[in-house]
Amino acid sequence: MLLSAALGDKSIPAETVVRAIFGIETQGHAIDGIIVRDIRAPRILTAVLVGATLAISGAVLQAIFRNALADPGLIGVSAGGAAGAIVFIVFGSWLIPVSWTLVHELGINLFPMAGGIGVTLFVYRLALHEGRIHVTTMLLVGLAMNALVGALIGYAVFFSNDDQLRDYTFWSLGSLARANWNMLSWLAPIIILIMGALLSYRRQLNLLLLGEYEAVHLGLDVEKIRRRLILLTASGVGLTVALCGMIGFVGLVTPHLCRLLLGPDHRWLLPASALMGAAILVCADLLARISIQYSELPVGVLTATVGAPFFLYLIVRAKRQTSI
Amino acid sequence: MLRSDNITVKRGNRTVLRQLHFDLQRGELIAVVGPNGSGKSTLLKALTGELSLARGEVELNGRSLAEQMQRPHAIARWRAVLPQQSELAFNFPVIDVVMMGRSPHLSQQQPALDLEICEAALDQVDCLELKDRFYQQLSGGERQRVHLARVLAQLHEGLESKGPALLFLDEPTANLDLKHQIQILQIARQCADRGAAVFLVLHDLQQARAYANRVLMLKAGRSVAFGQAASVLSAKRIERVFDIPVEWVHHQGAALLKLKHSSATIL
Repeated sequence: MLLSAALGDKSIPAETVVRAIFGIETQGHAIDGIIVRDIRAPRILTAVLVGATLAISGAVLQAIFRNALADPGLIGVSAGGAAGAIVFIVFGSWLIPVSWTLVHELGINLFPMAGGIGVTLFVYRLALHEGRIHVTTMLLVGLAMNALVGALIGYAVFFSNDDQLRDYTFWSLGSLARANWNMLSWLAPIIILIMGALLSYRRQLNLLLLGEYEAVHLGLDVEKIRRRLILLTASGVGLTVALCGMIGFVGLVTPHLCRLLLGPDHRWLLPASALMGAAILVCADLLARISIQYSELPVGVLTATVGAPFFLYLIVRAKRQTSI
Repeated sequence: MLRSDNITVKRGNRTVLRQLHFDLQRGELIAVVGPNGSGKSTLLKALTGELSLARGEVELNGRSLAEQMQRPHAIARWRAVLPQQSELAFNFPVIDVVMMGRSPHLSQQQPALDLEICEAALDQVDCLELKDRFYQQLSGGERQRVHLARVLAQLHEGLESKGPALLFLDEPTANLDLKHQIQILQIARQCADRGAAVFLVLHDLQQARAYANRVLMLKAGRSVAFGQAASVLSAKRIERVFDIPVEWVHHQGAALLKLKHSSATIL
């Protein structure tokens, strides 16, 4: 995190960074202090929160779907979130007067949440057949949702001017550039609450892996718990989409790496995924910022570059073990 | 302990179970037999609440099952189900799988005691040496036995203190070699002898006759006969329901099922 705060288009000495964090002005480097405090710090914290949420949501979704291929991006939760955001941007600007900023603020966060929840429930209903999850259906529905959002973005781009255009690519590729203290201050508590709630289900998630009915026979109110988990993960992912667009594959790769290190027990897997997800996204964001000078890559492009081949590897491996 | 009151189950428009009426007492092992597609597993699913009933009612300890399933945690403390096949999506160590059976009891026990119970259960099914292996590396038969251990660990309290315990087993012998088939049936029998009520779906008629107190014979979703094992499993009835000519041969106290006009016994 410190490294990320120090490096960037303008490199700042480590000492100055540390001082800035503790609110001490460095003589002659006032501007550096401002960069660290007002631009980089909120951005890094956002990366931490978003990375942790995506990773923990990925781990939980993989337990609900009982499959390591589930990922908020792949099964369309993120796409649902982005669709919600775009629908709100397009229709919201027609229907709601510009001066109602609070409504706009709320809408831009609530619509992605609603979109995420809607899509997750939809995918789950379609993929569930007699108590078992049909994995192919799950992935295909996710594919369809992603295509649908792609089309939606296409329409939006077609009808928009240059400025808005950048806005839309923001949703589809994901970037942490919008992060600021104002946004962070009220989204952070919600996201932390959601993560805390998800962590409290760590035992039950293990039982879910045995199967729908087996979990019921072990005393789990599966229907209720699943509903809550879906609600929590989808709103978490929806919020991250509202914060920084669709950042793919963090939710897929991170839990898998943690499983390799610690085993599949959710009591360890969930907290570890949160930590590692945060670390991965902070690093990815750092790379996105420093790899091209005076400009930056959307971080979603980076995560996809690493994540997509990894996904292929998982499929090949699953194919070798059993059939997916 | 368990009463099925005229239950009818439908899948789509097809009636798969019609007006089944029977009861299961504590300390008793009931085996359900019947040809393929006669509704044996469907009946087990209806009795455990996995399928909803079109008509009739299942009662557990005098109270409606559907009502009690609203709070599955309370039932899970004394009722366990071993399905025909359990899947486990991720690769847990065997001991962790068995420990999952303890989850309905975890709030009141110390982990050390739970571990002891689970190891004893693994020992009972001859799998203690698999304790630290990983589930997905096990063979089909080993997995089935590990799940049996999980179920036994779940019912530990009921089986030890002769409290209520109800055990459902859906064709538990299907993937097993002979030695472990016998072992599983003996364990089921022991559970019943210790006061548990055991409901067993079984293919093998000889085994049903040897291990069950009472037998329920199904054909095409209807009950053909229900009563003492030996009288339900008469050669004549087996001939009619299973459509093969058979006779019982008694040898040194054992009853063997044999094809008529042939020396082949039926295993």
